[in-house]
Amino acid sequence: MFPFQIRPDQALSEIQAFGTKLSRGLRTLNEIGDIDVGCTEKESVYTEDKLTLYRFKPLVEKLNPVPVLIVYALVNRPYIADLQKNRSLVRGLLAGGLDVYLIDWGYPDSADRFLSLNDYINGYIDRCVDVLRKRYSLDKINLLGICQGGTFSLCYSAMHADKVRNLITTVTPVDFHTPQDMLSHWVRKVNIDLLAETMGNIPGEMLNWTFLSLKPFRLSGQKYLDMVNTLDDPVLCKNFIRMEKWIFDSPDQAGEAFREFIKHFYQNNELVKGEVMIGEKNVDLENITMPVLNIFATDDHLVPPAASKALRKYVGSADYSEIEFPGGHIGIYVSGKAQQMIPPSVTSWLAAR
Amino acid sequence: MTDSNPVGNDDWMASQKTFWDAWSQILSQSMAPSPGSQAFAVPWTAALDLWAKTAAPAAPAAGEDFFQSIIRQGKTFLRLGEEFTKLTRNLAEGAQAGSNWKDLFAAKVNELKAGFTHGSASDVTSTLRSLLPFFELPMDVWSRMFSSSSLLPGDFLRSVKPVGLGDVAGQIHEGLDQFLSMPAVGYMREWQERTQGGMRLTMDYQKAQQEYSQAHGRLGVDALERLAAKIIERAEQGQEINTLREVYDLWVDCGEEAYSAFVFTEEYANIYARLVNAQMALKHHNQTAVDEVAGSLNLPTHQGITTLQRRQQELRRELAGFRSLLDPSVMEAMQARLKAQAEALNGITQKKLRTQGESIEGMREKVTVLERDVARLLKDLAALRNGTGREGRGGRIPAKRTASAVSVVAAAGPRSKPAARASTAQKRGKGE
Repeated sequence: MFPFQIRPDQALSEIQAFGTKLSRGLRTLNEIGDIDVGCTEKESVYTEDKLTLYRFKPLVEKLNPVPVLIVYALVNRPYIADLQKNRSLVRGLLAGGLDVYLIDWGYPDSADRFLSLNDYINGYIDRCVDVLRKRYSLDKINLLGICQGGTFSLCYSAMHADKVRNLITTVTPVDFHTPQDMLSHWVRKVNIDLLAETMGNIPGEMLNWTFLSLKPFRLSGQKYLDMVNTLDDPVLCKNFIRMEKWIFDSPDQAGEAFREFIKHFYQNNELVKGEVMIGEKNVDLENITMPVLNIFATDDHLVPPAASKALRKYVGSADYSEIEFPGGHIGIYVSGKAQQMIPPSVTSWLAAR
Repeated sequence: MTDSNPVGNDDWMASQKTFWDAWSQILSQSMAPSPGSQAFAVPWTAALDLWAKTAAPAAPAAGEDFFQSIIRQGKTFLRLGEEFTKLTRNLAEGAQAGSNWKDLFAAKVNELKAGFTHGSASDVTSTLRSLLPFFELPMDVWSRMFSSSSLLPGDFLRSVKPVGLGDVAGQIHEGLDQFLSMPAVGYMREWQERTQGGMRLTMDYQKAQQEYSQAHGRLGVDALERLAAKIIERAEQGQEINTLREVYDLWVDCGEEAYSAFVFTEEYANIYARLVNAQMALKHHNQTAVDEVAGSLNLPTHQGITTLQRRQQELRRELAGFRSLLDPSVMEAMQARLKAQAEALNGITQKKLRTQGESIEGMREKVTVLERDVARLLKDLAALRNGTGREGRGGRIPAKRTASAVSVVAAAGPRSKPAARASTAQKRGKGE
């Protein structure tokens, strides 16, 4: 049979409907006002260079006595963890009685060109941890790492096990050579030393393109067309633009840290080999003996589940748990399903430890 | 705001409605609508384009990028609709004339595939190309990265079209390669070598760029083949395609499948790495050239700034280290550590002293015993000399006493030896 049964009158009405939705969409865009991100009240408790350590205002009176420090990635901005009231990992954790802190790395510029992984992990993160230990008169605090921040948290916990009580990693790459790791496959043969030497800092725009290139048809085309159908709803429209704002809000990467991360983690897969050196310290995942909760997403196209699940094999902890989230890399923080699943799981897991 | 826009939404919607009503009326007056109707010649994209141009200023700043993205996709969607309906009209007409639509479709697909690899001016091909986002997106970003420190504005190599250039480029490169292999001589030798090096890097980059574009052209062919296969499969299963959106979604699915299959190959990893490495090598060369000029004018150079950045970071590290030492909690911890170490050391010393004292005391006792025995021995000797011994003059020293003296000497150890020797000498001196 002839498969194309697109009648001209139907096609015309389809096109007309599309045009009408676009018109209404423009009206909606005019009505929605400014796009705000980061919904929860917070205060700065420590600053250093471009880093700011924030404390979120607690939502309940009785708090878990051990604070949680969220270590965000260097890529994109941390407000994805607190995007809007009904899509906020932070609010969920606060509601569960946790005392939540977050590291905002800021926007590195050319003066930060030689910030190394040692400066980030044994420097900035360690000092933030010390701030909290002192503030609460505790030897150990809880760490929660997001994506690359999770990898940093693993390195930190392996080198400073005496300062970490519990470790939570979310969509965190551990084994960088799993078969479905597209990013790893792409950068394997790139001369990263030359790239970093030539570019200095790595432009955020380059990372944007890289992430869009993972699914170019859907991410740079189809999703906008899908959005036309909901453009007349101001709430949905605002949510969508808020997400767009986050996607394209990409700080440049400090060249040296980027070079080290790509070379030692993505190209040489040294983390699982126990060969990563951060400064003068070796990172041995066996040293991670505190309780570990590893959360990964089944449809993650940036960090394949296998890349995260590998952690089980390498940590020295006798108390290791996993949560498999049915969604994608970003959905784990902002989807409705995630709000129901992730914060309650984290708070109850911590409460038991 | 809408009010400031001469072609407001309401105006456009009203005019759009009039436009569609007119076309609907034409359709209703003609023969029964069918997929082969001429009605598909309606210029949808042009209408949207005009509206977008007039409406764009009314879009709020916050959503402007978003709005532009939607319009861009909207236009490609409509273009796809326009071109695809032309295609279906041709197929329907062919089918009505008794031809097999599958043969016609296969011929059309082959024509489109040629468009991807040889750059035909086919409208459908250009529409499909515009739906392949990576044709524009990656090259756009790379060229901007290149441009940011190029001696020339923009990426001048961008204007070199890869289509059909393979053979010509090969010949040009071969000729240039021979020219660039000529040894540099004379006073300007170094400059000449650098220039040759730069030209060689430019050629490498150009080659890598063309290779990258050609690979994506092949990807377009793969996507098209997948699309054709899916359409045939649907036809065989009796599934109809009733909307333009279905066609678009089908094309997106096929594109993602083809793309995913390609970018996981070793070939893609090599092509990608060659493009990036060639671009960076050329850019690095250009930086060096710019540095030479800047250096000769006593202006800051890239190399100099890199050194400053490195030193500044080292200073920051040292400063952070010193600051951490000044932290009271660190000082307290250090004090506590030192105190603990001192106490441990003290404990060890006292124990050692005690042990040594006990040892000296033991020795002292032994010396006392020895002195007592020696005194007794001397007394016995004196008694013997005076003949007042228990066995009388010339008698033997009792065996018991002799054994006692020997045992005392042995117990006293090395220190007792001189005393024993003195005793023997005394005996010898006395002629005993």
